[in-house]
Amino acid sequence: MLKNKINNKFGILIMLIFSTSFVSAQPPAPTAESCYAKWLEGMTIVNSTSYSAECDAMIPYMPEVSNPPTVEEFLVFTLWYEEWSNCDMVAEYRYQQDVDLVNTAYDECIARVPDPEEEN
Amino acid sequence: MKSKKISLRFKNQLLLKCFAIALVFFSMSCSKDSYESLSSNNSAFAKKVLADPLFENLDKASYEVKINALKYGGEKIDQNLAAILTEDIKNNKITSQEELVKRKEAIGYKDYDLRSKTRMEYAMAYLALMKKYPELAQNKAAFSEFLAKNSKHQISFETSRKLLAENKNSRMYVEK
Repeated sequence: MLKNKINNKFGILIMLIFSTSFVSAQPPAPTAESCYAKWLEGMTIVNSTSYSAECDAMIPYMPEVSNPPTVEEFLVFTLWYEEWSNCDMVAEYRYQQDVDLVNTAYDECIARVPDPEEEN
Repeated sequence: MKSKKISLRFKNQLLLKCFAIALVFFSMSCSKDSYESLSSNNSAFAKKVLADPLFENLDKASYEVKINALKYGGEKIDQNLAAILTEDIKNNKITSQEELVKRKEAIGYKDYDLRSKTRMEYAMAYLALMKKYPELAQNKAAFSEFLAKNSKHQISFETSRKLLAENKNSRMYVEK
């Protein structure tokens, strides 16, 4: 009988220790402000890591054209432009996807913000 | 006589090595300078770049290009038509801007003319700034960070969400 009681108490104690350690391992609940700060940080990283570094590297090789361009100038320019704009279209998509990710992360963060009414 | 020749050769080799080492140190210090001068907004060089209207031009053009990316990014492109157009360009079959725009729009690029103009303005602004400050071109990654941190035309939270909600190719697209 006594042995059973001790075993039960020991079990509860173990459960308590585990539950408290679990609670303390949980990250603090986010706030609307902290979610926005993370969004801003994410956007700064996306913008800093360059929209299209590889396409920018092609810009210095842009052929010079007179105004209005001659047919020959236009043809040379179009060849360069085709390559550059194809690169840029891929960069457009990548940028859109990155910003999309930052916004989705914001939505997930906001969903974890505790409801003040529920807290009370 | 022979030993004199050897010592002269040795001296020449030593001088050449010293020159090469000095050259390496010089180039290292130059690239470090251009990075360090941008890493602090208070440096004289950073202040000069920030005050230049060419920087403002690039900042604005970069904003417009990014707005287009959010607005149109991820369009479905007809790859077969795109390959035919590339071949036609290589074979000099496209002779006017109007024709190019028409063909690009047929492939699936919406408002190509407008986007094309925005992109060209960006290229011109980029080229003008890099020509004036060749130091910036030495470390493009540092410059990208500098531009992002000092941009007066940041994409706001509301704008980014609104554009993504309107872009059918975004996961955040909201059907009206």
